[in-house]
Amino acid sequence: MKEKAKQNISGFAFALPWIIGFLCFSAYPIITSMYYSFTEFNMFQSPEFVGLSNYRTLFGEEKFWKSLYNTLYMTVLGTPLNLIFGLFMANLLNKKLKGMSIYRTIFYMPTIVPAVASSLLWIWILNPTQGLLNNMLKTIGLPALNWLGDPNVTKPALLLMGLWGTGGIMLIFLAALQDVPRSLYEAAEIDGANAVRRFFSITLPGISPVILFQLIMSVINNFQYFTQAYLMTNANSSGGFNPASGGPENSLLFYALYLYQNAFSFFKMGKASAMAWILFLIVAAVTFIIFKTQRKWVSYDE
Amino acid sequence: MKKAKVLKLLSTILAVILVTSFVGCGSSEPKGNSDNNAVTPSEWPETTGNPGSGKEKIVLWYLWTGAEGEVVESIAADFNAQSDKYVVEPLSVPDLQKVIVAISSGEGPDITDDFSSNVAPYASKGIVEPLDDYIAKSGYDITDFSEAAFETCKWDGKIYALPVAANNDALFYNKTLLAEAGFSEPPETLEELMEMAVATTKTNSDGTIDVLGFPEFPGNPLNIILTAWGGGWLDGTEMNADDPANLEALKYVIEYRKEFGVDKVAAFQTSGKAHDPADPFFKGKQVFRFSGAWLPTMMEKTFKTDIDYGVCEVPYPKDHPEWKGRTLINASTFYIPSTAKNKDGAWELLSYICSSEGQKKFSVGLGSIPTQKSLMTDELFSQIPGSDFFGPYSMNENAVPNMSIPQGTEYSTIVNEELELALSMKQSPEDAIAKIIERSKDLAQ
Amino acid sequence: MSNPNAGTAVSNLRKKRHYRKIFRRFLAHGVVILFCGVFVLPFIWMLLTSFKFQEEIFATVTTFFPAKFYTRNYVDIFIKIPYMRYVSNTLVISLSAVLGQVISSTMVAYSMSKIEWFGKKYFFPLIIATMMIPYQVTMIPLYMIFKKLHFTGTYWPLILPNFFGSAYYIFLLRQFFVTIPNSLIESATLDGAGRTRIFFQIMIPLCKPAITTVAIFTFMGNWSDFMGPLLYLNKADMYTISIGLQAFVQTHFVEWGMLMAASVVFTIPIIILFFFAQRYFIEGITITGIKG
Repeated sequence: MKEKAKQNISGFAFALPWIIGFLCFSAYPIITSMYYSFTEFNMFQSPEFVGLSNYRTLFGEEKFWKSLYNTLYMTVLGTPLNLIFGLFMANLLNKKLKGMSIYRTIFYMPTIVPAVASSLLWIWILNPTQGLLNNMLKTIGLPALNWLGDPNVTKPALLLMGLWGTGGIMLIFLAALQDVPRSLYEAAEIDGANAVRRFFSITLPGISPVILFQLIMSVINNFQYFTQAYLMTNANSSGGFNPASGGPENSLLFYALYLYQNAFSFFKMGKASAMAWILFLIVAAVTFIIFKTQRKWVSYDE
Repeated sequence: MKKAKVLKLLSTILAVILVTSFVGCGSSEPKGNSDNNAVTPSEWPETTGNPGSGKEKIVLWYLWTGAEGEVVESIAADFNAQSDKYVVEPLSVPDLQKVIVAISSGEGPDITDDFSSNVAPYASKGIVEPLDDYIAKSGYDITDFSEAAFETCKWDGKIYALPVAANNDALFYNKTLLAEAGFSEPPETLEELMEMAVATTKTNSDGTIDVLGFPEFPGNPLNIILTAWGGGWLDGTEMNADDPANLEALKYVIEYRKEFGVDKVAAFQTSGKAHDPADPFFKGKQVFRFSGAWLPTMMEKTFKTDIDYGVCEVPYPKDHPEWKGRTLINASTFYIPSTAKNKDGAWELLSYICSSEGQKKFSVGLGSIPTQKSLMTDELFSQIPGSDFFGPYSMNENAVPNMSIPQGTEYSTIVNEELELALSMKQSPEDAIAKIIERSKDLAQ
Repeated sequence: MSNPNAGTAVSNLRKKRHYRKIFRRFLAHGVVILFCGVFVLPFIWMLLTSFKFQEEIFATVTTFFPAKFYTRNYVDIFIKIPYMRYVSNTLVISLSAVLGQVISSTMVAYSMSKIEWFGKKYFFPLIIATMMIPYQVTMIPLYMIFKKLHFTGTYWPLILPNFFGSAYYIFLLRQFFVTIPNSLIESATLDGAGRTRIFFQIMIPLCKPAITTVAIFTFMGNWSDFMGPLLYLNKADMYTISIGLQAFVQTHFVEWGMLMAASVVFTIPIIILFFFAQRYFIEGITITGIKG
């Protein structure tokens, strides 16, 4: 009894920072945005209650579904790509080779480049005739595609750009790999397990809690994919104050970008809020499912 | 044991803080009062000036940055120097989101800038202060403004902004490339333009375009051609998609794409680097180009390109010479948000910026065309390359103000989406226009 | 029994293993360098561009190396914008944020992992749920909260929330905390350690790489934050570097040379920080018999 009470108090005390923060800074905005989703609100005049009208409008809109498709595309393809690549790189960089700190810094560097510079950079790299990418592809005999103009390849171009920015994922995996006890590897080696076997039987289970984290965070972040697309489509019009477009034939109109358009270009904050809550439900459902499966593959407390 | 007590104490203190801050936070309600149209914040702090100088503060937010921003800063400094009553606090705000959030929460600036395309969208939501009373009270001379530019600042019978620069497009052409094909004069009619464009286009052996004849870069020229043809997506403030001139213009532009291949044109558009030293027009790889008054400044002062170019009016259709000079005018404007705390001061600054004195500094600094008729003098023309042409052009009798409508952004999004499909020949021009009419039906208020 | 050839056979085998080891090491180096090369190419391009004249940057024949090293860009950026001022502003925000985040997120992560209390079940999903709402729709109400607190126009909206934990870091640290063996905690409890002692003497030392990661990410996130500072700061001399970079993006064109130079300088503090933080990534966080 006493012990339980002590645990409760400790738990509460240690969680207090977040609880206070939530009550002060998150609760009100979240509740308000839910309220807005049932209104027509242009941000300057009083919100007007319209019930489920926003939701109904959205479900009937082609652009809504298109933006959802674009975002799902990035999530379903981007998440495994980024995780696998990040883990692969972390593994490579986990060795005790000389100069490892330099290599790790290099891989993390792309994430450090300021977003405004890196998006302009990539617009240049993806340039169909003069860009680095197509020049490289041409030298190895692969087709040089119109990365920024052809609606069929604009998303793959962004996927590629995303790979370049997996430094953060790599770093977290690196930290996780460090935590797997060497003794386990040594024992396995003595038992005759080769590198591949060791990876699948020791490494993966050992870092599975972190894989879960990466998976969920990657899904949540990809569903809210915004900044790159915003900067790329904005900057593609040679600088200036253009409202973010959706790229060629709206192939780059991601859900969060369409949400932004509704809010700040069309002044439909009510509709944007409805979009936010629809997204929330989708992401929550997906996350819930992933969490439910964790018993099967995530091992805590060795 | 002791630790538990300490923790208990800490948590109680924190809980107290929590409760009090909750009370503080919880008292804010969703924004907006139900009775009036405009936003009125619940408290309006006194205009405190600089305690030392005793002057009233005017908060100016502007979208420009860096070197361009400095022009605005120096105009503000000039204003400060000649004002006993006010002092301007200028701030570079490179993203509109901040302006919108701040105004929405009642913490917006006293005066800020935007394009005339936002006049109706903003004014219809009650966030812009009408200027008619200020103009009447101060006897401000609005007759010196170019009519077209000034029109764009109006909505629903009231004046909501003042124009500081007029933006429109003219036809730039490469004299050398034209001469090579045997043309000594730029085109007068649209039909001549197409003829010259086709004749001067050079392609590579694989069909890709080496020298682009038609002004399809940086973007398609449809809206400019449309205007020249007598059409427009808006007729004043009425939606006008079904104007037959629009269809004619669309078909006309597609002609060139049919001739040389839609994908080839698209490839040229995406590979080109606009407004850099490698811009195709600067490098002699583009014969015709539609662009604004700022291009000569960019070519001559910023990048010092060495092509032999000329500027002329957008050609007119052969059968309608009465539309010679028909061009769409957009204005760069300054306006006063209705939530401004110092509206009188804002008006003083606004009238200063848009007066001849302010406009001259603005134009010379940014290479733009002022909207004051009295500034169309040699003195100005000598300081801004190309202005001797653009100035009168922006004020010619066929200049059409590009009026804004409350759902302007949504309307142009619809228009652009359908046009994109028509121009890439994935749907017919007739279908595109039909779809535009269909989709924009619900936008009309 | 003893075969005279056995000796040479063994030493041959040893030699083979030795060479194989060197080969493998060489291969590992090679692969890493290859990937490095690809990864760092854009960055190198950025670096080289910063040394070019505006005119040269997009010449028809793209030069990779600058025709001559034009270092003026690096001087100009300090003249054109109050770069050092922005740096110090950004440092204040970023370092405070790191302090706040490391303290608060570790605390909350602890409560979500190794303490068995009633709130764990309810709060953890709630924490994760807060990450699922796009910021655009909470921006205005949040701004109004800070307005009521009279924090707009100050650094507080940028620094304060970090002292209350961030869902992302809480989740991350929690996943690391749960991997710490319960047996360790039990034996410490038996030794009389309270939960706070355990926090400071077991959880934190064993998760140094994770905490270091949180520190780096927090620093980086605040260092490159654009919207936050823009939204809440109302004086140009309080602005941060991300906003400062916009000075090189003009209405109709971009001042590439200076933008790239400014971006290179932008990344230097982070690279330094990252280098120093590498120490904490060193493996061998040993506690007898259990880890390492």
